[in-house]
Amino acid sequence: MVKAVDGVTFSLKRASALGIVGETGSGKTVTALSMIRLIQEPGRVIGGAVNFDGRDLMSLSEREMREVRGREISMIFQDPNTSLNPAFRIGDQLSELIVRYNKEVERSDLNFAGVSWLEAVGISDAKRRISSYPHELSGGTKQRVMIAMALLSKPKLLIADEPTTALDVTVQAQILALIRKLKAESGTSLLLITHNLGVVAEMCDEVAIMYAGRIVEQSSVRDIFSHPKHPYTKMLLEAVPKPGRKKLIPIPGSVPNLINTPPGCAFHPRCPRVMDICSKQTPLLKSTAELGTVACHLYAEGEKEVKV
Amino acid sequence: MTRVRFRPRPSVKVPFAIRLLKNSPMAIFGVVIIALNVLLAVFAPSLSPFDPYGMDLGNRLFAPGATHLFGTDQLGRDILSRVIWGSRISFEIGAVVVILSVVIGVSLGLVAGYAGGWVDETLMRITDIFLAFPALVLAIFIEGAIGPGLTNAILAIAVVSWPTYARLVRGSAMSIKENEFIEAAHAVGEGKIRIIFGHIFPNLLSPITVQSTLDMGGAVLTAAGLSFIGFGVQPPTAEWGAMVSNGRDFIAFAWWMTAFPGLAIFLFVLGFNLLGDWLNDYLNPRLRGVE
Repeated sequence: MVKAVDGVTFSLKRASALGIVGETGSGKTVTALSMIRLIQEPGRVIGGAVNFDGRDLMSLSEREMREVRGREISMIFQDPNTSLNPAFRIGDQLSELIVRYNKEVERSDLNFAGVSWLEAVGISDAKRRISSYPHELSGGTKQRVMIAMALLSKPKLLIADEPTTALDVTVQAQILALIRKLKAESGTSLLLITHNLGVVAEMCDEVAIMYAGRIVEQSSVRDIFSHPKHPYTKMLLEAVPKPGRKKLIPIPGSVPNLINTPPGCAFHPRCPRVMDICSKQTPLLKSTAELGTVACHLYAEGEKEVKV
Repeated sequence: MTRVRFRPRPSVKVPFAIRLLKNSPMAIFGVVIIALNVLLAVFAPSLSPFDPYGMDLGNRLFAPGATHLFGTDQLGRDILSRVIWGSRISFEIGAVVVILSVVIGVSLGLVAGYAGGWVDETLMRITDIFLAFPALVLAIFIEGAIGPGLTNAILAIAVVSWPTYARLVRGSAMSIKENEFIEAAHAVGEGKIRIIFGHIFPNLLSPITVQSTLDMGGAVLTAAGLSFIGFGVQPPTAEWGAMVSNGRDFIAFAWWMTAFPGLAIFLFVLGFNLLGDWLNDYLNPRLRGVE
């Protein structure tokens, strides 16, 4: 049995933003999908609870879950090309959702409502563009449409899975600014999944770093950048190219195959501070006032500590 | 507020297409041929100079001339009139075969592609069985079992044609269903039928349109073949293939009996082939969409 996600715990306050950072294969997308129970066969959730607004989502029936998805929890994905149906105009796809989630809108006002939403997400010439087909729009515009579709139900939580990874850097900045603005206006909470620490710095209040299915460090965004604790976090920050530095500093080795995770701490083969205990015992995620929330033997009590 | 019944319109941009069509002489030619055939079929009673079944034994085997532009056959029937009325039968064959085979083939293909697993395996193996036989041979078999005649010929050809659509649609359905908008439809509880026909199917209109246009000609060709060997349409019905068959014995000295219906078949099929080819070029690279 491969555990794509192994014992992940975090909490997200209302109207705040949590970033989940990790490389490909770290389990971040699976975490998000598990929360809204979209894991497909043969995968399944084997334990845990998702406390959302007073309810455990894991205990809801599928029918109740369907009401939650799209209405209270919305999700946008990385590739806007496969999120929109190419056979229909975007106005029609928006209207389908407005009818479902904004029942107070009269049929005759559907087009107006759709245009308003397109304008709210910064699409110019919305009156004309609402009749466009997805293939007539650029990636950035499509993603804006997705954001509109996600937010028109006024969800309590927006999950964004690498929403800007497929976009140009300039467009990326615009999209992130848009999400930030709409989130502030509506008070929606945000769970942002990304591999880009820069994005997290801009968007999030808290961040959790994942590696091989587990959270290895979690703290406020400020602390993560000023006082990273876990060696992986430190190396991630070091790996970001900086002007003036001549060489790139990658993390040696590669992400482990989850079928064959290294024993003990999954990161130990690549860790510059590896100790004996690292290959024998998996470090648990521990929270302390002084040391923050880390899963690393360097910070565990009662073990030989090395001056950090 | 009452529940809004909302039906999105699938993607076809007609005015743009017509403008593009003007750039292709071959396609225009095809459309013209089809239009002519349509006119013949619609206005057959007015256009046809004689009764297509009216025998005139005094005027048998006349060469093409002033009164009988295409000549007469061995029973004195005017070939031109029979060719004109034959266009009705050709359209009937083409349209019914296409409608039947699309309805059956696309439905089965969609279900197979979406369901996967043993449903897909079973349906595809059945499809393979049908595709393993040459169309004409299988149609002959079927008609041998259910008897000759126009209706049975149409049924037989439809039975032979549906597997193409099933195959065509199944592969695309399988890849389309992997997309997020399908997963999203699932996640909010839309039923499988609604997803298959409301979300996946509209993305398949392009290949289906192309294939059915080509099949209009193909069906007529197969029907002509069946009539030629005595299956299919029975005398005295003025179907072009039957007419060609009829003229076989007289070909040495009354070439017009086979030439004109043969030409009619050729033009009908050519027209739809040209249009189908153009549609293929127009629809496929442009509406790449999900594929």
